[in-house]
Amino acid sequence: MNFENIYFEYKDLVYNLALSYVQNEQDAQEITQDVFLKIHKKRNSFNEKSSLKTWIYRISINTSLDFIKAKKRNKRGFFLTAIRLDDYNKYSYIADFNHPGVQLEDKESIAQLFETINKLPNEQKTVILLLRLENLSQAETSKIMGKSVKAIESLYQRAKSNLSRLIKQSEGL
Amino acid sequence: MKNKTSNNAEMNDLKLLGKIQRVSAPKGLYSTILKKSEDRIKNNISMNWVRSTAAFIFILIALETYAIISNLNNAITNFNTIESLIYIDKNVLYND
Repeated sequence: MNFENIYFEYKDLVYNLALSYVQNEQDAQEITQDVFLKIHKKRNSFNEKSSLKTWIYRISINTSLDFIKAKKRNKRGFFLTAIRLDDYNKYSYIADFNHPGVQLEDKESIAQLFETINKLPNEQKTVILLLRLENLSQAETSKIMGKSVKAIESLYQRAKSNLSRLIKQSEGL
Repeated sequence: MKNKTSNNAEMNDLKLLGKIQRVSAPKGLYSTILKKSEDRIKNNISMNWVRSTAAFIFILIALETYAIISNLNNAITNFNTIESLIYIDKNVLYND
């Protein structure tokens, strides 16, 4: 499979997954570009043992997480002296939320849900996004994340209970 | 009962994710990626060039070090010769 075919086959998968992580069109485009640049560079070293789709999922997840880490680091450095970080995060999140797949009437509730999901540890966030948003099976998720199906199941349960705790906290219950 | 209620709330929240529609990647992204990839290749310095430059710098430093050490040795030898001549003269005077 040449690069052009790979791009046109998987561009939507990569873009939508990036959107799930950053919920912002511009950032998702940047991530998509980075992912395909990595694929272009490493396609010859791709290990045929794992499927191409699994490999692309892994690259997309790692690139998205790296992007978020870098963005947080930059923002923290810039704003630390100006305003309190908590206030900034809240302001920044609402201002940044720009998911083209979300209808206007659902925007607020989905933005709030993502704000909570973003507080989860990376693995728990990934498992929720893959199972609930990408609608992958636990077996597929386990291959992508390099864990057993049982580990994925328990990670998902932990993610759900943490999510529920965080939602209650944000509602002030 | 309490557990069931919280589980339902959790599931309702997660069901919201199902309302998100899949979108197509923007057009024009492919050409941007190809351009970036070409730029990266152009800007990449080949490993052979890096290796030969490193080897050249290493040889230069080695030659320089050798030159400094041999100069230092010459200076020490010269100094020793002068010192020994002075010493002999002194002895001669002393014996006289």
